[in-house]
Amino acid sequence: MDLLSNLSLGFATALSLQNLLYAFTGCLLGTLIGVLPGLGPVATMSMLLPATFALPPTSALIMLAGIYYGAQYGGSTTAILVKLPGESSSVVTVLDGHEMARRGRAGIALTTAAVGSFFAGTVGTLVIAAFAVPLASVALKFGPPEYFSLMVVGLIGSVVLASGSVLKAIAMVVLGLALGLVGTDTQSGVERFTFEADELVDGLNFVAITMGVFGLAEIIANLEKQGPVASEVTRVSTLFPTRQDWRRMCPAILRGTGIGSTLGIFPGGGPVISSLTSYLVERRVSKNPGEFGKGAIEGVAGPESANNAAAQISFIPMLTLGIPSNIVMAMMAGAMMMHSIQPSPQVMTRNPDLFWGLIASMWIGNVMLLVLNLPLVGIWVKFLTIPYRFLYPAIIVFCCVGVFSVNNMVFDIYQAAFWGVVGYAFLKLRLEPAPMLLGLVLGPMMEENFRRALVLSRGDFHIFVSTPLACVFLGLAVLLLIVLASPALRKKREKAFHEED
Amino acid sequence: MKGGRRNLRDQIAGVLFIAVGAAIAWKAQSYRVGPPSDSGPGFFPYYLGLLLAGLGVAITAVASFTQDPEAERFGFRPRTFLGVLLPVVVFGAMLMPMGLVASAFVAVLLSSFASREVTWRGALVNSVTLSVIVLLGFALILKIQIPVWPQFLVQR
Amino acid sequence: MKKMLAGLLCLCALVASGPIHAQEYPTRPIRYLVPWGAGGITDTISRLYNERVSAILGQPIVHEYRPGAAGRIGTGELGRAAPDGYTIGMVNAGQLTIHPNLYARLPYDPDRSFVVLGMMGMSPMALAVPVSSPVRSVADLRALSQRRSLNFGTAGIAGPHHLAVELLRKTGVTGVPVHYRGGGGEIMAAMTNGALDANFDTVYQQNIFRTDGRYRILAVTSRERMPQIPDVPTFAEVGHPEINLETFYATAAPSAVPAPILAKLVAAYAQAAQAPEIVAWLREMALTNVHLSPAELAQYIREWRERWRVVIEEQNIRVQ
Repeated sequence: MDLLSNLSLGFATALSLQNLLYAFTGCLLGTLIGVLPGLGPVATMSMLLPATFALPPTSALIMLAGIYYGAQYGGSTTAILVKLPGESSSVVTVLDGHEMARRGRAGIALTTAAVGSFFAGTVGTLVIAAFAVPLASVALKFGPPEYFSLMVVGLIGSVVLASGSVLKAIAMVVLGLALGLVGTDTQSGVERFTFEADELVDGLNFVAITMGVFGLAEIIANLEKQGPVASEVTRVSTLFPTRQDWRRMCPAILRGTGIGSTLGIFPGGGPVISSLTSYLVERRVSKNPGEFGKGAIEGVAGPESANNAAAQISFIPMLTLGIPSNIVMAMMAGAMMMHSIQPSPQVMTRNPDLFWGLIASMWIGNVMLLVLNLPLVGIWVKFLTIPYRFLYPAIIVFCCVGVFSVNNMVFDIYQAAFWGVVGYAFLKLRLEPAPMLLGLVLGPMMEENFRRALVLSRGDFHIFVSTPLACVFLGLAVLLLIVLASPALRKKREKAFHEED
Repeated sequence: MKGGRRNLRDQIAGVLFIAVGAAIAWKAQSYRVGPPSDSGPGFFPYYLGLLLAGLGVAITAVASFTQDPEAERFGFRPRTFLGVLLPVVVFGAMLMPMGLVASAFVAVLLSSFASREVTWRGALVNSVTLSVIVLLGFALILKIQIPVWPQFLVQR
Repeated sequence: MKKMLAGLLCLCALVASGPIHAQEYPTRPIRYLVPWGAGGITDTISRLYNERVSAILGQPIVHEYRPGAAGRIGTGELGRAAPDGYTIGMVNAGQLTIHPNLYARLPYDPDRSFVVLGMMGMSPMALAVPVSSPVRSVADLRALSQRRSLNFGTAGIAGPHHLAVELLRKTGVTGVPVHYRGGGGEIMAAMTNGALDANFDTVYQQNIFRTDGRYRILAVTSRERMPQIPDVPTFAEVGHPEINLETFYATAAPSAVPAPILAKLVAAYAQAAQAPEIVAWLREMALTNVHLSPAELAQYIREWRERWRVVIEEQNIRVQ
């Protein structure tokens, strides 16, 4: 049994007292910093990364994995509590998670996220342990046509994230695509829409945008409302999900885990696409789709599980190919190289103790996260009982520190302020930012791979249907388009819309 | 805007999309556009800009025939708006020359203007508390890369 | 808190004591600007060196990361820093030898803003093809490129990976450069599934995939064979001495730094370069190093910039 011997090697490595301690410290630090409003996973990782450089390679990676999980969970916590998604994959969680919090169900949302993440993480770990080798070879098959068609699927799907007008949602996706164009074009090297600012050469800062359009705009909106807003948001009924909540979230967690474990293999964008797909599926299978966007527990359980399972699986393309699926993963890859571990398919055979130790510590990290966070849910929720007049200045300052520490760039703080203005305008015009953010994340990958494919094929469009995988994705895209355009769904959407009034 | 014959909110949004889309398409022409099979750096921006402007036209058109489902006013309050965003800008401007602690202090103080519930006393207490938290947390415990004290005090 | 205040008082005392004599340099920690993100080879090489340099100078060296615009943002900040020896940083081939030929507007002057005080490592490149390819040598690759149009993978336009492909045209090997954002893994996947015919990358990176049984390395751009792959010939050996190129990692200070301070730094970096663990690490990473004085380094950089100018103009490479 390869699986068993691999896993036992892994646990032998990870379960040393020293490494357990590193895993725990990593989780704790990641969570503590990650829950500060405005300090998402990216900022948390960039703050804590240098601290791990002095450790031996295996311990460093184990601690980093702990920080990663902690920061991610911390990020989901702020996404739910104060509407501040720290990275692309928690954008979907914000939609229903924060709505649950507004309805006094913050504790339940946090518990759901913790339980879902834990379950998905466990399954993800098992999938990696059992199928690491074949999964690595699937990642190798991914070329420009496959990436392009996968991104098309994701972009079409993003429209469903909005609960209002479809037309406005499409416009927001297109706007996001356009914003993704800012920066250096990979094929030609031309700096587009940078207005001669070197700070824009690498593109807009995602963290600054989410901070502006979600976080800062939300603060303005809260303060504009009459009376003490805080009490409305914070009246917390229960911390623990009821029997009915469990009945609704369990299938969602299962489906989300399945989606994440499958889509996570695709290098680049796996977690985002997974949480998005899970949201689409939950909305589709739900008996009351009108609840989505207004605090549906499935809207938290599904995407959070999918995101976590995918994040787990995406360690495979990162470790074996060095293709990170997001900025946080890119930092992990950079840290590996510092310890002279070059990501390559040989990592599994050349550094088996490191590879399997990391896999085992992923699971240990997930357990620690659950143990650490279930008791803490009560405390996080208590944060909301702090009067808003004390809370919002803190959020503003933490946002500033957080956005600065991503690239150590003052320019990014100004960017956040600019996006605050834009986000406020969105709020007033009832334009929903989630589809735009998805467009922003997926757009550059779509354009790059579209043009790269055509360079490779010397302008022959047949390349997009030249492999079975690409055909499958394109077929999915067409199917999704039909489903979205079908009158049945449109009626459902309208019904949902009217229920609101 | 009491539920008139048209949806003003969407009309504004539509016009903004038209403007942004047109600007993108216009600027994209300064890059090579090219045919789809040999697309240059201007190809995606050009057609995305046109698409966005087209969607803007559609949104504006639809908005002329529908009503705004919300009768709520826009309710723009400059004091709140500036009270939240100005501290961010000031924090950015102060961070490098004046350091983290002073920037946090001023930013929190400024942000107090956003809320009508905060008194002068409360604002000061808030500023001091947060400056200390930021100093302890980020500068002393986490030691993140950030100037902590004003530059003129630290360097010669 | 008490310690902080004490430190603050000390600093105030320093302010009062007037300009610091170069003999006493350094009296406080030195900032080291890395124009890239934390992690990766740029971080590793500067940390390895600075551990030694810090021990030699007796003051801590604090790393600060200023990523962005392929190193141009951090390098610009280094050029603008106070020339007191308390801010130094990394410079690379891109910012000093390639970008000046591509961008009309740079946040620094590649000749006047800095004095390059020490070479930390030079990285030659290797030309590889997938093992499934029938190509065994540079001559085979030339023959193939005359029969059909080839695809070369690069890690971004106008980077060393790309310019190497353009330089290769001099040998009669022609092909279309296909640019990938990240390089490494994505290019390896494309080489493995047959989309790409060949690529240039660092010897270290190529050797990993060669050991994996995925790549065949045809030649290296160094002047001598690399000890990690002694069986692979240099381009000069296969009849193309014009194909020699390398990128580098060096340390620089703002140009107006006082001569005695500069001398101290030059000596410290030169001494660090001799340390056995650094020599061993460079060898493991397939990097080379030779000692060059600041004047020789300035000359080296000017020569490379001129060479790239010729390649960039001949091939009409434009990014604006």
